[in-house]
Amino acid sequence: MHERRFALVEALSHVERLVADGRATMSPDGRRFAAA
Amino acid sequence: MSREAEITELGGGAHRITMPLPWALDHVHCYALEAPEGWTIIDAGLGTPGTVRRWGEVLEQLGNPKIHRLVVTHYHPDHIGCGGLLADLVEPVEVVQGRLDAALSKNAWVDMDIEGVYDHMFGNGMSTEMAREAADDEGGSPVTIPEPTHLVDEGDLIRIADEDFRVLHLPGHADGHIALLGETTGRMFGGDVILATISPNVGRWEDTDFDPLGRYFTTLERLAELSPAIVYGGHRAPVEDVAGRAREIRAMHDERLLIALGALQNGASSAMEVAAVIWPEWARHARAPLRSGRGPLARGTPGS
Repeated sequence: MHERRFALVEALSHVERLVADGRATMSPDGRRFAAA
Repeated sequence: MSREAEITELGGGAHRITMPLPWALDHVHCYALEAPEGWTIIDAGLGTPGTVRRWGEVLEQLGNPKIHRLVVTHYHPDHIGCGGLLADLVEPVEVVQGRLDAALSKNAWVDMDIEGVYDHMFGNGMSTEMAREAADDEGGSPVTIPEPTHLVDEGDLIRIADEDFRVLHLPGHADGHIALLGETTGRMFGGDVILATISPNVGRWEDTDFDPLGRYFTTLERLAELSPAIVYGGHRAPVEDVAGRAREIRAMHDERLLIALGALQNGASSAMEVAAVIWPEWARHARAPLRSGRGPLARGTPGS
């Protein structure tokens, strides 16, 4: 479980970076993503 | 590693104290710096009875020095976890912690919101069962935080023996992460800001601000510019080619960003789905139970 939690939060940091640099979009609740 | 603590002499009055961890990453390095007014300990290890017993043994081997100061680099369990027990043991004159990190510590370990952890994991794609297990796991972390008496900010100076150490705020691995950079020797006690052979986890936890990876990229650039002579970190070997190691870590993240983007282009819509593409080994045992859950991996409508 330790590794799964870390994988999830690390993946989330990557998709948020994609949102921040304009390569992805994010739903208003911040939990669904799509390529821009 | 050995299940006992190991002491490594680093020179310049510094000692590295390696404590075992019960995880795949099986150790954490803490540090003790000699000084006439009393020694400084940097980080405390995980808050288990075994760790505090080992601290007693280590300090005895070091001659039972008076401890003037305990410094916490960041609030993750393997660094702050034994802080309260260690402070009880050595009764330092001061406990130094970054101002933001102290607030995050209290929020995470005193006013813990287990449901908030669950909501974060579930909302980002874990099944009900897995999110519940994750939240319970987090709630069971062995952590006893110390009460900080000296909150520090970027640029503050801490004098240890005859050297001033500059406090650096280096977010990414943790929003309030601090490191100490020696003004004379150029040595840095860096916690987990940069590590040899492994990449510090840059996670967007429930209490992390949006886009921690962006902040970590700034930290890596800053480390490369500062170019400390050596970084003594929380795990593995010290880092001597800091700029080179920063470039390696940045390249790894850039590659991982491309994989994450590819996952989104192929229909992934949650962090959980993206994680399953980045770490397929991990995904093999994660996918099946997830798909039988509430459907967080179903190809839903992409975000706005």
